[in-house]
Amino acid sequence: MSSLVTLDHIHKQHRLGGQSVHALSDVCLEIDRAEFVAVVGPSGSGKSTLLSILGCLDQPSCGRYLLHGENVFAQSKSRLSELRNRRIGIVFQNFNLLPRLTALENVALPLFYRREPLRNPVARARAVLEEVGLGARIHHMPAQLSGGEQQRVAIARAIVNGPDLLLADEPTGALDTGTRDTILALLGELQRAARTIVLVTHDAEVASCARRTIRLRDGAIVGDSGHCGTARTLTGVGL
Amino acid sequence: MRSLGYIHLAFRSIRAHILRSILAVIGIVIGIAAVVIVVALAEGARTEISRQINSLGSNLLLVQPGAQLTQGVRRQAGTILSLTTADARALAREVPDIVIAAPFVGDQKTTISGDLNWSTLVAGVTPEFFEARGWRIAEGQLLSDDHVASSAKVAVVGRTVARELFKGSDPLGRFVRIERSSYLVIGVLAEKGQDFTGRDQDDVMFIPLSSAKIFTIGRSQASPDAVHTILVKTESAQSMQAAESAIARVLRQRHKIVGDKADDFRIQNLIQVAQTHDRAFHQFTLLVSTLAGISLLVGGIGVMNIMLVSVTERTNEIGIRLAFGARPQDIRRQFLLEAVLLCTIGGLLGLSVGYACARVVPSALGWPIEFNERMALMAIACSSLIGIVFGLLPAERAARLDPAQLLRSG
Repeated sequence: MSSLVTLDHIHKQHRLGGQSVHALSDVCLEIDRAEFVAVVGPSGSGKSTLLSILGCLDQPSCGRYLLHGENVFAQSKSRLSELRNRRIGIVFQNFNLLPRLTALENVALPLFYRREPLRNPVARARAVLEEVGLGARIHHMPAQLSGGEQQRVAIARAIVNGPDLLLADEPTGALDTGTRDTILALLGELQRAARTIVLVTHDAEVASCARRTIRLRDGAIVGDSGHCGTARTLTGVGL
Repeated sequence: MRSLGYIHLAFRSIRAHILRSILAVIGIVIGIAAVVIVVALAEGARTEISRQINSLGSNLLLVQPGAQLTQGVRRQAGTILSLTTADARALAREVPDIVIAAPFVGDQKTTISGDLNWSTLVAGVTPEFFEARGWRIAEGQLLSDDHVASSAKVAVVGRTVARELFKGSDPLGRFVRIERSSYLVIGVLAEKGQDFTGRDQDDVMFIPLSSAKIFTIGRSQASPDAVHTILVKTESAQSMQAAESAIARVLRQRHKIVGDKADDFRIQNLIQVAQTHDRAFHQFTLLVSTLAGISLLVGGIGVMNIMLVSVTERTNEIGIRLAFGARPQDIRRQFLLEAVLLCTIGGLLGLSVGYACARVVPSALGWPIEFNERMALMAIACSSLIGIVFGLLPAERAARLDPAQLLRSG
């Protein structure tokens, strides 16, 4: 079976104050379907840049990115939008919910931009909110929800269109330990439902939930626990 | 369905910053209101002027005696009595383009009925005069040829005179005294309103030409046949030019004016005079419209400014939308629609304000106004267009935002 994600010699340079900084250099990576991958590394190691590229939010300076065998950055902007809409879901550290929309409307946002609209987008959004355990709070505004609840809304938004690849950038970074565990449990459930998850974190405990850990330093991969590494299963840590 | 979603989105965004939105569209409101008022006034004036032109009677020329020359100084027109009833008859006979040539004498006189008096224009005319002016009788009858032939002491009064002298009672069969003669009122004329100079055309009393000369206005010893004006009606508007030169030729011949000696009469085209008034008003309208246009331009820039601020402020929202599948054109559409909606709301407010002003101010000042749906549609279309023009730049800026900064800032 071919990989879901193939990164082929990805380089990324940022321009900072006239100097070009290597955010990623020569990153090669394959991620299979239904894998749970943690990307760890000190700050400035290029984790977020890697996630931006995986999420089609940013273009690499050179290199190839195959998603489902499709060469992502050879596509039009419109097709990139469609990939972001249907194949990829992103969860951010600071949730990034739209403050003036209710939980339900936030979750329905990706449905609004679907090329083939659903007949009943509201029902779908409601169902996904129930899936993440927020069925009772669908009409609340983000400000009326706790951090953990907000992040569950954000996860519901990320999966509402049934993406292949779920990306999470420090999803528990802004949460306390108890809430962190429920969010990790939720991600674990999603992974068991055959979703591929790439999670960026600097929290070793969070990373230990993943089956595979990729270590970044100065924009390069310095360690990869491998496809069938010895990482513990999620149930193994009592989640 | 999708576009409904965008409109809903735009409404929410405008409502979320209601004060800012109001401030942004105030220029549009003022501009559209000004345009609406100006157009309503211009339309009203145009209708009024064409009504006045119609009330003058169509295809009319006014032939009046020329000015007297005393030691090189020209006196007021009509200071010599060079025109006669014979001239009128000659014009009707000799100029083929002329349908009617009606002689006229007139003077401001005090008219008395019972214990009421009223100073008005008393005019001596023949029946053709009413035909030339297109003037209809409302009650009773018009002056006839018999009345003129017998110098009958009868009168036909305008609405204003009827109202002022008889205060609501029926004027027909009553007598009006002018100096030492009493005239029997036999008719009341239909209302004509003001002419283009603002003079009340209904403030008039007509008596037979012959009676006027004998009893009331009097006649000059030197020229007993003299009249103050000859009103000429031509066949058509096209023949007025030809008629004018023919009149000049006939009168110069009859008055024995030869070579390069000046005419002792002058010919006026009333429609031309009215149209000159129309043009002057048109220029005024143009000036005010230009000012209103500048106000709209400033209003549009205000909206653009607010939209640019809004784009900067909502960078995060735009990034989120892009991250979850919005295409750049979706973002562009969203912001453009917001600008258009903002301006259209401004346009509707301006329309209401303009309508209210156009109702209150001119009726207080006595200016005619006219309001129609075409103007309302124009105002809305105009404001929407401003929204498109001044929304393009902010919308383009929003559509070009880079979603990658979401993660960098986060």
